[in-house]
Amino acid sequence: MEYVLATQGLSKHYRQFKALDNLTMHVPKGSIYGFVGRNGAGKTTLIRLICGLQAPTSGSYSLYGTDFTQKEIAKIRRRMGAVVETPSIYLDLTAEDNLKEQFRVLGVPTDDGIPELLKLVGLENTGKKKARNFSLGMKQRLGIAVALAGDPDFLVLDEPVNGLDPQGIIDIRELILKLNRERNITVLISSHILDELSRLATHYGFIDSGRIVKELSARELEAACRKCLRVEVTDTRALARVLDGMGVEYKILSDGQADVFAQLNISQLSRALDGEGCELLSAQERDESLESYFVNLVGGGPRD
Amino acid sequence: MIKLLSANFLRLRKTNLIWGSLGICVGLGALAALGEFRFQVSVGADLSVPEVAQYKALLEKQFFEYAAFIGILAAEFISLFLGTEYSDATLRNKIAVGHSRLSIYAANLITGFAASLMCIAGYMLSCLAVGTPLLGWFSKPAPLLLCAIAGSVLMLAAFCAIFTFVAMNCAKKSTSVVICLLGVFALLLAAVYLNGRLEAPEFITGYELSGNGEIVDAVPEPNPNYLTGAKREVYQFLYDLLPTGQSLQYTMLNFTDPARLMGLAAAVCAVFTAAGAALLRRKDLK
Repeated sequence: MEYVLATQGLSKHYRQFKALDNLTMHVPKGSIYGFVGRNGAGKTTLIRLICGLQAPTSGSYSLYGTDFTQKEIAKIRRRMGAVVETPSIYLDLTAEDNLKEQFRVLGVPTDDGIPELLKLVGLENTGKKKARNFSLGMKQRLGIAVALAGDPDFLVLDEPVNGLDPQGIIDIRELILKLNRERNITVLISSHILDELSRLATHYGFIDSGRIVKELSARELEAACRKCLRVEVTDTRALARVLDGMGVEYKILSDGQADVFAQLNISQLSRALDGEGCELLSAQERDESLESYFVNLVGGGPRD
Repeated sequence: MIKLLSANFLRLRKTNLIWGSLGICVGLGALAALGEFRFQVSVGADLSVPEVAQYKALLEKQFFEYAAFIGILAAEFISLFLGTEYSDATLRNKIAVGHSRLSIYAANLITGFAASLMCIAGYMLSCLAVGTPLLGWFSKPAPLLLCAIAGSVLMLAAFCAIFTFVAMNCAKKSTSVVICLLGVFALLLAAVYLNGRLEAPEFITGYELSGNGEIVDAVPEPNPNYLTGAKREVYQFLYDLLPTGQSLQYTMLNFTDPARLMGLAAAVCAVFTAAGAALLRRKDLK
């Protein structure tokens, strides 16, 4: 698999505090990578590092296979756009002037692409209104437009829906999906609003205390969170025989526990097990959400 | 770096800050010439005779006044203009797309310098436009005037290097504005003090009452505040080194070694730029 971003044992220490601790992660090309973690888990620190705002204490990262220590990384960064924490826009300039400014920074020869970009983010009618007078959602969208000015292949968004109203959240979500589907832009999106992230992400990275605790695709996560019947029996070998006979998908978890991925008639199952000399002790329907998966993964206790 | 300069100049054009500063300079240039004319008229000088104005070097006196205040204006302009890169977090946009910190620093230094130079030019042109018909043309030798102009431009570069150093390494715009403005006034006070000590007369001539009751000049006595030897050299060196010290010398057209002043201004510029760029390179940005 081709990775846009790959980190290897990346660490960032601020004096004694380890913001990132030996972090290893992989963002596949073409994905929307949901970077999930609590406040202070290290999400923004990672984004600052990959944007070149800070240098790692140890470890390395590569963008499109180019190590960050190589000279060519400057050219590679040209393929990247980022909104880190707050949108980086000149408040005393209009939306159009902000884009003109970024076009100059990037060396884009003409300003022809500006109207299209403004339309893409829904700011085509802002006229001479200065960014200072924009709503939070408009500023966020302008920040994304600035990040898109260089026509990037990789977009990094740090908490893009923080503080937005429901309509603003929907607008940003649709924009991200559009960019990913229509322009094939890989998106790394950090958030702790899990419900929102679950509507977007194709891949997930769960971070806690500066470490990646789990990396998986949305499909794998779906499988992990799949609706199932968790049964407790006295003999799982007997259970397997019965379920094989029924042609049902299942997963043995331990000697006495298994997950069954089908709607079963409990009486029928109990009778069949009885015939195999096995007792059905309990049956419980399970439906795990991204939220409960995350809580199970990093623990729901208080933060350090 | 051309891309960064192009972006900076675009923003410069769009900001009211530069037009306000330029307006102040143009206004001050015209007011300085007009004020001098009105003063001369009030003391009865006949400025219709060209030799009178030329003898008094009236145009020069006003023309180089910019050297006295351009440091303050540059402090205010550079700290506000470059501080915006931090307050609006737009510095990130430049770094995230691969521009090196060194080129960002250099582009910002050049932009601040160019804007300050534009303000000086505005002052000069308006002073000449209003002053020449009223006060006559320059009377001092052209090489001296050119030396003062070239020297004051280098002095401005030194000021810009100092303020860029502060603005690019201070993450808070308000803090960098306060540091730059307080700093320039502190340097100005230091220069005035040094000038006062260096200009102290070697001897003090007092007055005394003669036997017949008349007041007569006393025998001159050595001034205990007069600086001599190594101490005088140190004071002179500091006076020449400080951009504010140079600004006083250019304002009064009272300098003896322009090459030394220019060399020291270039050194201040180089040291602050190298230190500022090195600090920025190591800085963790948010």
